[in-house]
Amino acid sequence: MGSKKKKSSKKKQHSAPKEEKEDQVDYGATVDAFFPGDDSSAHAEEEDVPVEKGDDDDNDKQGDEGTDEIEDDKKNDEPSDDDEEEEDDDESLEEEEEKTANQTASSLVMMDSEEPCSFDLRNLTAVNSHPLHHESLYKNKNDSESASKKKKKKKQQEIPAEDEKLTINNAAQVLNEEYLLQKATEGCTQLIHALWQLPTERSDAGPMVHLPTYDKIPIPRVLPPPPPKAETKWEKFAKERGIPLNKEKRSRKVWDEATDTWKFRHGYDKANAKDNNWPIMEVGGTDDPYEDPWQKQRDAKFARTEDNRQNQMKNQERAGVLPKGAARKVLKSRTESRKAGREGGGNAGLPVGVPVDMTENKLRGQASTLAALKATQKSTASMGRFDKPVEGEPERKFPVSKKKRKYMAESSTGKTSGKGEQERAAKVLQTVLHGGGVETEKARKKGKLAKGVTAYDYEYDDGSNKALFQKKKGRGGIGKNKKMTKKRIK
Amino acid sequence: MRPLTEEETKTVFLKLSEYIGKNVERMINRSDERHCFRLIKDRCYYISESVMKASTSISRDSLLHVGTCLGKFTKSGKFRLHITSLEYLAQYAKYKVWVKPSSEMSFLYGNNVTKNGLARITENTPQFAGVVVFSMSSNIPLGFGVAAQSTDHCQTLDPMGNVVLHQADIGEYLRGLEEDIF
Repeated sequence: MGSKKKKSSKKKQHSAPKEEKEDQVDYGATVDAFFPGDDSSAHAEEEDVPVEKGDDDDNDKQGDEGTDEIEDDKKNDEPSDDDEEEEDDDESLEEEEEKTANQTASSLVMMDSEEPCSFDLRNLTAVNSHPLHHESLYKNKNDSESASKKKKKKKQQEIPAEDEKLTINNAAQVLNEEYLLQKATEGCTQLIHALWQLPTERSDAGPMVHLPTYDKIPIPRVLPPPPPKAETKWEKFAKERGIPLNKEKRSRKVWDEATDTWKFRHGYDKANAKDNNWPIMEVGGTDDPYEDPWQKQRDAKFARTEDNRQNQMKNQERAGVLPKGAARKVLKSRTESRKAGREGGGNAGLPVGVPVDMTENKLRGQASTLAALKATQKSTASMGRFDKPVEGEPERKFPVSKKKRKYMAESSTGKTSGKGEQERAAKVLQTVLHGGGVETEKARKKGKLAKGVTAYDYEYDDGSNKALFQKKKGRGGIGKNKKMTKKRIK
Repeated sequence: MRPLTEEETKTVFLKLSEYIGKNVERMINRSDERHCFRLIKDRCYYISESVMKASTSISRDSLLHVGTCLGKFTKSGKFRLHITSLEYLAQYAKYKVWVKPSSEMSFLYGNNVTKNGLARITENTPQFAGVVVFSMSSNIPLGFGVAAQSTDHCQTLDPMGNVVLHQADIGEYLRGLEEDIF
């Protein structure tokens, strides 16, 4: 390494202007840098790092050393670093190298002409918040041309060039990629320097750096954070008294003595369950011999579950999840229904599905009966549309769907459509005039008219059955096959 | 704005026929220009074809009224005649009642026509028939209503008895009794 050092210093001087080969820039980490051997050379290492940038450059060009042997994690991240940085710059690395060779490790972080960046090392980001140098950012198209041509065109272009700087999409103005690349390079080198400042440790792959655990540039939340959970009564008490809560300490499974297996602590088939449901239960000392022990067990279980339920609901009430008084109401209804079931009689004796208002010996009343009638009328497959009405039944109303309703054309544009409307109106008028008036309408709606009065009610055969005059049978007969009356014959 | 459905047309014609009887046909088939019935929201309008065609070019939100408003449909589907239809009712009225000048004002304020104020009445007016009220002094239609008694019974009425039950009068234009008429 030492010899190389000498080599590199010589080579550097030769290779001073090399602006063309920026893409081969190596940001410092090669195999040679990472075989420290002794800690004494750590300092030298740091010095080597910037130096070897130039070294590697030269070596690449000469093909002596490959930068293929990449063993540092950071090196792998470097291509993404380029993308993350804000500005690209085309500053020649060689300048930097020359300077850094004369500087110590600590002052190698930045050069005087460089703009200091801020870092978010966890996200491997270097942020250069200094404004761009506008003049060097844009260059005229003609800058690339030869000097002679420039002189000729200078007069022509002097005035428009200044104006053109203001416009963005103008063809004469081109973004100076070199300036951007220079800025990017600056930022990148600074980032690498900063990364080296972090605590390192050795590993098989080479020196590993511990990135900080915090994001300096935090990504903001999409949604607001969840509100803090309200404390339960027990939690509050425990906090006061200093009792540990044991929230995560209990294991899910417990050793069951009886079956010598691991069983769940709670729930179905739980561990160490007290199995009291034997067909024969002995009467203990204090127990009343006439008491039902199974009922007693069930009651005890119910009481326990109700207590638990009550406590849960009360905690929720306190938290505001449930309205105040909900717990009391629920539990009251539960105990009442349990009691009613116990006692029997009344509704408790009914099978499921019987409407409740039929249970007591009350008369239904007209409104209730009508409502029941409407419900039964609707409860057919076609919602009561095609059922034959019974005598005396009021007219059925069917809900009109807004979607399917088709109105006639709003404006009768042609003569024909206008006439059509007139004809329709005339027809309606005929039915009105010869129909009997308002009273019969009302009577019809109420169902008072005897059925069979109008042709709608009967299936009346007046001899004009289609089948009698239909010339063709089946689907062939459908169409304009009409009975040839005297009127039509004419 | 849309044309009336069959059901709606029937209701309107029924109502009109109570006042003008067969003359509804004259409303449908007119000699000068064809007229049609149109519905805006729940009001029925009687307009000429040309007016109707012109009104189709106006957007629904900005179109308030067209032509003559005959009346409006209530929520339960019944049709109520408004005073604005008086023009046609008066033209084709079947049963007419003439009111004395002294009790004209009373009718115009919304009171029923009593026997005192009755000047003339057409013959054979059935009870509860639709009736158009005219002024005796000048043959101007004042409004319409329902005949409380048939013509024969009117003669045997006591002076304070109702002859015509008031339904609408032209005084409503000034009184603005029902806010949603106009």
